[in-house]
Amino acid sequence: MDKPTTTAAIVAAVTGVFSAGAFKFYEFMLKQKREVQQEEKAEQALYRDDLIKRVEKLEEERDEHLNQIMKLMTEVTALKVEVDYVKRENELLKLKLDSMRM
Amino acid sequence: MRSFFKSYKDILVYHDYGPLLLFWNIADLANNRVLWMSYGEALDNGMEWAYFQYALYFVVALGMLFSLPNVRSCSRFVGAYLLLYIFSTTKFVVNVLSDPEFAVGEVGRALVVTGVYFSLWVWIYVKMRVEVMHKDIRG
Repeated sequence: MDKPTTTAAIVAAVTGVFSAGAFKFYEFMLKQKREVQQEEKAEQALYRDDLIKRVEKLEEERDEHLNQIMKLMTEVTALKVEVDYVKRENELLKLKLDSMRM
Repeated sequence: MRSFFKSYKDILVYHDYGPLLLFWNIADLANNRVLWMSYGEALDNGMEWAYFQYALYFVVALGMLFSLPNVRSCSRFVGAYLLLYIFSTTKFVVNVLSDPEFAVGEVGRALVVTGVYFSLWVWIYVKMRVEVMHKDIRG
């Protein structure tokens, strides 16, 4: 091989090796970037799942409390009716007592 | 003015290389001396090395043409083509620098045209490799 051919072969080989290395490095950087993105996504997913669980629990508690309120309201209404009845009876008894005194 | 140059940058970054590569490849094959010159003629003119080089170009260009639908394989042929390009250009430059008699004619023009073609092939190669990398990473 003459000198220009040897030089050209060396330059081509060196360029090939360097460009392959450069692409490998770029690929490594891309992979790292992708891994970081995936980790961030996983963290976000964990946080989201935790939030979903908390919301579900709070909704269950709210339903339970609503039921309790409904029960209490029913009892209050019944008590109101009973108090009204007792009040009326009391008035009647008072009237009867007054008429007996006279 | 800035947006005008930005549109050129966008063309380079976002536009696809496929159709360009197909037509360029066909033109390159049709322009190859192997098709228009026999080995005997090359031997008579003392161009056996050049003929061998053209034959290599022809094989690589054929490989490129047939592997065009497969980016990974095609990028390997484009890489081989680029290495051949670097080899022949370096050889030409070394010949020009070492032998003043060789430097007759329009060397500057030849080098400028070679530089532009080289940029074209580098652009195509980089786009292909980046595409392959993104495919690999996505799985």
